Amino acid sequence: MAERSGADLEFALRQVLDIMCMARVTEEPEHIATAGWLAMRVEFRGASHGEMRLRMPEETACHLAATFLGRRSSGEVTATEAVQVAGELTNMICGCFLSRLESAQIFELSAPRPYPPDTPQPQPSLARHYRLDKGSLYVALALTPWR
Amino acid sequence: MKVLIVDDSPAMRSYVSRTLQAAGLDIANTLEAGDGGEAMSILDKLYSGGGSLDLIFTDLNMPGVGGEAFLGHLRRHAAYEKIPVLVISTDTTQTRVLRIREMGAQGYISKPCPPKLIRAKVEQVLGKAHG
Repeated sequence: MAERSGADLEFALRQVLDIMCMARVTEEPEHIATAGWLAMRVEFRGASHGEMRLRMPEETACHLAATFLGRRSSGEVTATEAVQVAGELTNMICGCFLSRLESAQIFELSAPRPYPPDTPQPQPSLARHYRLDKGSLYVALALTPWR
Repeated sequence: MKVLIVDDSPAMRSYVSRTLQAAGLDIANTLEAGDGGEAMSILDKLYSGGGSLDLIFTDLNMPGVGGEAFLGHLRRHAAYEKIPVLVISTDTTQTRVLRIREMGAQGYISKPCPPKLIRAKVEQVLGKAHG
């Protein structure tokens, strides 16, 4: 289950970043310090329930948002827009992942919300760090809600 | 052509709007709403003033009035039931897609969605609507 979830999660991540931001996942490093990163989460309910979390440096968020929004450079992206795009990417990755995991089931996703990145987090079911051609990010999945 | 984009994500509304403009489609006006309730207010105001819409994009998962409730409202309203609707959502589960089609949506676009897919779906739906 965990192996399949990991493969589905990576597929969803690669697909969303490629299509929406023209960004490529280049490698999976062992660990990156994520303190101070922009952090978003989406909760889901359905056949499975839980939460997906996405964290990235603000610089990465601005790069991704620039392509998403059709701006010429990341300098044209406001902090609010970077958060909005990071939220939408979290929503898309979560939806894409769940559709692969349970294609015959209906899921309800919450609106993406930011959360304090420096607060201690419970151990997720699945977590990965990725380097991108435009920065880096961390994605984590819990199949039961973190409270 | 007048288009209404209903999505709680400002980033996604911007993405769809920009894609439609860049696709060379004859877009005269793009209206935006953050949920189905706001969309209904825009429609009521537009149609009471003698205006009309050619196409609606709507998300499904939205705070407030969601996409399915909005779609149901459109189909119960004589003035709005003929407006073509494209659902654009992260939820691509078979059950959801079938349900949305039964509710009268003309097309379903799954997020993430490349610009060429949005353009193709718009041309397909408008071709049927005008054909």
